[in-house]
Amino acid sequence: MPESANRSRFRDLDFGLIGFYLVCAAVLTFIMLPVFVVFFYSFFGSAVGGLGSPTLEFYEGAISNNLDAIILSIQIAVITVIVDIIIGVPAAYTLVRYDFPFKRLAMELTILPMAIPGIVIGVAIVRSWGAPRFGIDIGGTVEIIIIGHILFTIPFVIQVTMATLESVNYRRLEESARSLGAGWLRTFLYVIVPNIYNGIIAGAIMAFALSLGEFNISFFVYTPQNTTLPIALFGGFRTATVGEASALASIFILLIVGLLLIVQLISDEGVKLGGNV
Amino acid sequence: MIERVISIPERVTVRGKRVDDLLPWLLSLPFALLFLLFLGLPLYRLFELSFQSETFLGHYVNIFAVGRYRNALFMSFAISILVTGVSIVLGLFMAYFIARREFVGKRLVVAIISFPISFPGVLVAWAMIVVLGRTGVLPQFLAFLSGESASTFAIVFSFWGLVAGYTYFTLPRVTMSMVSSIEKVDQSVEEAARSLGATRLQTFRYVTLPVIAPAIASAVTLAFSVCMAAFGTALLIASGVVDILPLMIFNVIMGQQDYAAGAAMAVVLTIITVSVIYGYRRKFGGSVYA
Repeated sequence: MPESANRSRFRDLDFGLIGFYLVCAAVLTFIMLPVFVVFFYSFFGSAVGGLGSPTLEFYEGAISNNLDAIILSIQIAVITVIVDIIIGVPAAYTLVRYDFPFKRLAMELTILPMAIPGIVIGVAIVRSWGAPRFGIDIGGTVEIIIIGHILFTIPFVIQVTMATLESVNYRRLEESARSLGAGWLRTFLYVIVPNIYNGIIAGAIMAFALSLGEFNISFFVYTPQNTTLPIALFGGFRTATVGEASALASIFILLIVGLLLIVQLISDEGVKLGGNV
Repeated sequence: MIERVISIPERVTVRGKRVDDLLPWLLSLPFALLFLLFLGLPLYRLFELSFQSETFLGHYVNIFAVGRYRNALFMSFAISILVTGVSIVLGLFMAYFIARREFVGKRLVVAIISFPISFPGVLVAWAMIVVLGRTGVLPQFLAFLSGESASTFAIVFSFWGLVAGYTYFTLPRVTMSMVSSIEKVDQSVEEAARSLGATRLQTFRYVTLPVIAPAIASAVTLAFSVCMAAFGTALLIASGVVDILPLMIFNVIMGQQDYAAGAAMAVVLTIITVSVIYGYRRKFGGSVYA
């Protein structure tokens, strides 16, 4: 009697485990299958009407038709990341290091661009800055796209920098440097920054990846002369052949995956969860 | 005596120190300007614009009075809630798997589950089209099995296609946000509950769940706000098929050129996502994006 009870319990447990693994396998399939199919279609074209032999012609077409967009997107991402670091890291440091009125509020405001839908930021920026204002005329330029991308990505750099700062004992480092006579700038550049370097780089690569993929803001501020890669993807998905659109998507996926692998290699911070889609 | 010796160099550098102390603030100024000029000002003007109507709060009233607008708002809520629910349940399984099982290639599984987080919405839409669209693998496969036309099985340009796409970008976020919390659960307490005769479900409900509840709240907040705000996926999959609030904003502004009405909808959408995220911060502390 106890034996049979044991056995039935054992069996229940097994079914539970099998169910658990089935769900996990289904989730991984759900995530992986579309990526595999995109890669597959990028070599074979659509599967409708039988398969041909694999070809690189879709990649040739995708690259030759969208080379400008690919290059522009990389340029925008590089500039975005540089500006992110130059204005984000000192701001993060000041927010963590000093006490001032409304410090908590200021810290909370830094994630605002993550909380506000990208489409709202896009509409707001194009409405305010689409026409000249304060003598600044950036409507329809690459600069307005870059500004949108900086707004969208700088919270990540600031969050990572603040987290890294809090994880190192920056006050002690700073005090010893300053007691040896180093001024603020020297202390910051030669003592603080080297200690939070990994965090900054991880945040920067994340920002780079997000800038490459930014669609919602760019969609409202771009002009046909300044088409970024995600906008070209959007156009390609609607007009190009299945093979060519898949090839462009594959190029994009490979770029992103490569960047995120670097993030995982150099930092424990991992991939941040934000970013509007 | 000693104090005086030390205080002399301090006094000498007073002027130099002043500039030095100001430097961090000066270097933070560009950041403040960026937010003021390109976030604060545009949002303020959008807010202002949303009140420019013939009747008081006319555009806001219309969101609830005009059937199309109201339906778009409700549809946004419906999809966000449905996708959040599905993603939390599936994400819990996946997060358990990652947190509890040690196996070869675990890093690979983590990488696979986390890289779609950086996909733009339009790419997610394409990923759904190649799987669930008319030329997609699943309808083609089902058509091959049943002999019917693939179009019968192509569900991508519909409510369910939208749900699939939204789940695709929500599930990885939700999973990764719950993993570390499950890793922290004391497994010996779970084992004790099991050995005292609790079923798997009871152990989860009364032992594990209370510990990971804050993480689940964080995941719910993240999932819901991301779904409410999402635009790219819907633009490709649901334009003209399913009305959701971000698509409605796009149509009203770009199609009808009615900036004021679109601004009111944008303000409503912003209030929803911002209050959800900052509400979580107030109640639980910490960031849902960490």
